[in-house]
Amino acid sequence: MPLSISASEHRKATRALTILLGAMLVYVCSLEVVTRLAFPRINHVWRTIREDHLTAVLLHPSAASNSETMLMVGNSYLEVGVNRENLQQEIAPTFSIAYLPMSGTSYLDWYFGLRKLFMEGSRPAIVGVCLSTRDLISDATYGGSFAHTLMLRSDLLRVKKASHLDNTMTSDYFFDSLSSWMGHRAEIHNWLLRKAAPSVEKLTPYVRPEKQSLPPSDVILAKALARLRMLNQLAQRYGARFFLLIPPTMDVRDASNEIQAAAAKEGILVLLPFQHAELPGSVFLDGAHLNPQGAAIFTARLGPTLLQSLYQN
Amino acid sequence: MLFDSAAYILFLILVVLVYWRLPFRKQNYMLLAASYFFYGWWDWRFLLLMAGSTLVDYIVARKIAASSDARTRRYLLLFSLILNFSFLGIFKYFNFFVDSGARLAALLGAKRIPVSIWRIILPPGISFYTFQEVAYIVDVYHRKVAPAESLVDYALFVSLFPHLIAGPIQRPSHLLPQVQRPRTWDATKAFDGLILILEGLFRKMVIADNCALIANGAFAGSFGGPNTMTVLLGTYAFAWQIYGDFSGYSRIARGSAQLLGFHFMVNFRQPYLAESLQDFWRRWHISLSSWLRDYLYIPLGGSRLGKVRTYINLMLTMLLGGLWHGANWTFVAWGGIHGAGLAVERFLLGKKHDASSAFLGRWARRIFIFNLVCLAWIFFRITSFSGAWEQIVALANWQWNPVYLTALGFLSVYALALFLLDLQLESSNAEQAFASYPYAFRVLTGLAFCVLITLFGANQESAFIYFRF
Repeated sequence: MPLSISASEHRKATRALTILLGAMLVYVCSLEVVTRLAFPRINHVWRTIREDHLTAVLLHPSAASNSETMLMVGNSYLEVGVNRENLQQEIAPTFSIAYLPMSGTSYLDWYFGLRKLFMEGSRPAIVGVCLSTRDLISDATYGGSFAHTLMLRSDLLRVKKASHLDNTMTSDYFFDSLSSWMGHRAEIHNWLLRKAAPSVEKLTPYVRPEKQSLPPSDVILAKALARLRMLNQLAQRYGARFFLLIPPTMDVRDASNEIQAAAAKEGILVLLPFQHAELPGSVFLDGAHLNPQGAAIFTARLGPTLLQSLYQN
Repeated sequence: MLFDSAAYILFLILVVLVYWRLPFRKQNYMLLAASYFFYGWWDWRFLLLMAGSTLVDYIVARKIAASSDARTRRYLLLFSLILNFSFLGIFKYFNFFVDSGARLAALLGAKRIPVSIWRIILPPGISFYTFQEVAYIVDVYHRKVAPAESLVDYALFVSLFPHLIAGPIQRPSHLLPQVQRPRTWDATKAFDGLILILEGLFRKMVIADNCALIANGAFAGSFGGPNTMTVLLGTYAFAWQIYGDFSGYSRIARGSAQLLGFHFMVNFRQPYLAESLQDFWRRWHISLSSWLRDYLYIPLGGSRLGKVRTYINLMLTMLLGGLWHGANWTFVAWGGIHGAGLAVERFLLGKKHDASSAFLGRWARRIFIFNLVCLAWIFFRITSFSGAWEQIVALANWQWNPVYLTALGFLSVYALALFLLDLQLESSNAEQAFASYPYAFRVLTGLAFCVLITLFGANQESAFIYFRF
């Protein structure tokens, strides 16, 4: 009798195990399909990034209107700090501008991101990278979103070395680059959380990781210059001119003037439309990013700065 | 390799698939190779240390067992203990003593002490496998277990990947025979193992990692303060974070072992439902607390040498238990709080528990012990005495911000989920949740864990807290 009970228990367990494994497999596959097909339709941010990415890939040195094409990439400083339409009006018809901002990104994301964009066929006449000094010297990469959207799989070992990733993180990046769900799970989680509990959004500024203190100016300068050379060489290899745009922030004084002067000696253009603490605190949204009023002020000065600087170069 | 990474899931699937196709001896060879690969994933150089200490203890244990001379046996035991604790001491505490020495030298007026060039990297899991090896040597010395005949079996006992990095610390009498005997596929154990892994991932990725957001924000000062609310938020969030993190890890370890036909001891039994500190230590990190009891507290004399000696032994055991967690005086303070609490409890209550089953009384004791444990967590979480003290003093500094309510609501959802899971486990007295429920219900539970992990797991990549120890 006990034997038959045990055998029946074993059969039940085998069936339950098979069903659970099968259901998990179906669920994970569905998650991947839904992420690829449905999520871009319902998530505005993601849809914009997709569209911007496609536009960036299709860029040629000159646009249909014979204006020079400019690709401007960067993080949230670009995303919320620049009014797209206004800037295009300011610099038309000389330049035609395309944007690809991704929040949370920094230097390595865009060094490898530009490599990928160029490999995918993007050929703008001018490439601008909008990063604060802190982001320029950061060794971080933006997790799964970076791996899925901006990283060439063949660059994985270079990314590991440059971003000091351990083997687990490197393998995560590999899987993130393969799977849309894995690459975008952070966005999906945030989106779901916002839908399920909108008040949680209020917590966001409080649970951000702490800002690290900046190294001494000479260390910042050396690292920033080396990185600017890398970006400049990369752009030149694909026939594009390069510039760095340092946005106004409320961060500590960060050697941006020194970077601008040192880069100029090497023929690398660094734009610094506003000096440190030149803009009042009232035009900042959350202690870091510009509010719409600040964005309007910044954009109004950025247009002429771009025209003047890029003509001179 | 972190348990909550895609690489580990793939690794485990491959190991399980190959493992069950092999005959017994080859299973052990393959598992040993897989365990060394798992460990070398962090840094292959650490393998040499583990392999070296494994080899020495294997040889010493055989010599102890073979010798009938009491003095020789004692010398061999001492040799092994000194060697094991020296490895642990050098790798785990060297930086601590260098830092303490540098601080002392700075107090005496020394300047420019090049501390950074002396730093040593801590090999992951060294505290866990050292304790396991020490338990083996001591048990062989006391002839409680026979020494392993095969080096492969012993090396597998030490390095079996599910327990290698953060336990549960396995007793030789429990795990070694399992390594030495053929394992058979058991679908019920495998199903339980899979549910344990899913529950563990849920505890880690959904509960612990989300609570960590609040704990990190509160202790970093992002919520302002420190004041009453930030300290309470940070402390309670950390309490649920560390519990979700470590109990989640232990469940994934047990589940992974079960998929390979092994059984690991339960490491957590609803610790926040403890009714006394003694009860708490029977429920929290059971594999460590029982190790400390059997290999430290009892050899020190336990409660056999009078009341005062009992209190001293309790204090010593908990202080060393605290130091085991990390090379920092705050860990010693954490152990000290628990040691003092246990001694006071023993003084007031004796060995007996207040077994009153009155509902209100029981819950009052639970709430009191939970808050006492939380108070001690402040010293565990904050890395300096002054920082910890600042938090405790700030408890009297009442300030209010509406965002505290949002944070409290966020924390409550996750804490409540884990609390309800624990209530179910407590009422069922089983080793895993919903164990006595029909398979259909358990399949749905497993699938629900899977959905919650994939959709509500926090975004941050964070290692398990106990990997540091």
